Amino acid sequence: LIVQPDVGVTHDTKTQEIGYCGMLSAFFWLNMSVALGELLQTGLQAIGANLPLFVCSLFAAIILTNTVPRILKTPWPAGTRSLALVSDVALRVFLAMSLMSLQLWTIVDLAGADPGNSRSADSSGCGLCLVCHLPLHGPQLRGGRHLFRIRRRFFKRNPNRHGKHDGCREETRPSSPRLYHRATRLWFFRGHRECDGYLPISCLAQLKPAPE
Amino acid sequence: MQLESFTTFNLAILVLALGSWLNGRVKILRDFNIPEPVTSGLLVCLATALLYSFTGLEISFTLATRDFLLLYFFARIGLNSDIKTLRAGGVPLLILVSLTIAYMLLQNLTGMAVASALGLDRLIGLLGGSVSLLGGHGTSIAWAPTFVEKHGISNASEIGIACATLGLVISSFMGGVNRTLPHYPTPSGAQG
Repeated sequence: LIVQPDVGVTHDTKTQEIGYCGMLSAFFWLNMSVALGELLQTGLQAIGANLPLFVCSLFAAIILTNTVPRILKTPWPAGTRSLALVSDVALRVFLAMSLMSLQLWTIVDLAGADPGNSRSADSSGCGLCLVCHLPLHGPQLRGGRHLFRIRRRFFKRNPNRHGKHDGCREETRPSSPRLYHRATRLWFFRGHRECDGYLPISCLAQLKPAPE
Repeated sequence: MQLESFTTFNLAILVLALGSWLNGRVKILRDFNIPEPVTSGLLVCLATALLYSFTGLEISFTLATRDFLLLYFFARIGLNSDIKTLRAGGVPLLILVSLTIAYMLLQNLTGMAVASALGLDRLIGLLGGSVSLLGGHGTSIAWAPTFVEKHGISNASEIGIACATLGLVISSFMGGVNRTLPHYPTPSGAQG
C-alpha cells in the first residue's frame, strides 16, 4: 500500500489507487500545461511581457483546469494521488539537484576578491533583513518560560467574570479578552474549543512554573 | 568535472535517499522540519566545496532535468487551482490572501530598504524578501535565471538559496520554540 502523499491532495479526497491510467493522465495534462505555457510565453513575448516559462506553465495549467473538465467529461488529474506523487517527486528531486549543485566557492571567491562588492555584502544584507523581523518575535525567542510568566501575571490580575480561575470551561475566559490578547501577543491563541482559546489560571497552575 | 544530466538525476535520487536516511535518524532535523532534500543537498554542496578547496577539483552538474521538473511542479499547482475550490474558501480565504499580499509587500519593502542601505542593488532585496522567505528554495531557484539574465545579478541562485535556508532555519527555530511551551489541558479534563 502506498502511503498517500501529503502534497496536492485535499483533506476530503477519498483514498484512491495509483494506477497506470492515473499516472499517464497526470503526465499527459502536465505536459499539455507545459506546452500551452510555451505558447503563452511566446504570445506574451510578442506583446513585450517577459515571464519565465514556469509562470506561463502555471497560468496555462490554471486555464486548462478551469476549462477542460467543464467541456469534456473526462477524468481530471487535479487532486489525485497520481498527480500528487508526480509533483512530490518533481519537487524533491528538483530541490536535491539544485542544492547539491551549489558552488559555494564562487561566493567565497567573490567575497575574497573584493570585500566591498555587492556579493560580499549579500549575506549580511539578507541576514539583516531577517534580523529586522526578529523583534516582532521577541517573546517567542525568549522562550516558553517568558510567555508563561506573561500569562500567569495577566491571569492573576484579571480573573474571569465569575472571579474564578478553576476549570477549563467556557466561562473561564479572561475578563478582558482584548487585554489578554495584547498581553500574550496573540501567539498563544490556538482556538482551544473548550477554553475558547484562553488558558485559565488553574490550567496554568498545573504546568511547571517558571523560576522567578 | 562536468556531470551529465543522466548522472546528475541518478545522483539526486541517491542524495534524496541520504536525506531521508539522515532525517530518519537525526531527531533535531525532524523536530525542525528540515526537508530531506535540504538536509542532504546542502551536505553534498559542502562536500563539493571542501573537495574544491583541498584538491582544486571543480564539480558541476548538468541541470536540464531539474528545469523540466520545475515546470512539472508549477504546472501541478496550476492543475489543482480550480476556481470552484477557491470560491469555497469564501471570506476567510480572501482575508488570508489579502494579508499574505500585504505582508509580502512589506517583506519586499524591508528587503529593498536594507539592500539600499547597504548600497546594493535593490533587486537583491527582493531575493532576500518574498522570493526566498515566502517562496522558499524552489521559488528562489526558479526565479534565479531571471535575475541573472535580465538584471545581471550573477549569483542570484546562491543568494536566494542562502536566504531561503536562513529563513527556513530561523522560522523553524521560532516554530520550534513553541514546541517547548507546555501543552494545553485536554478537553476531556484529563489534566484539568
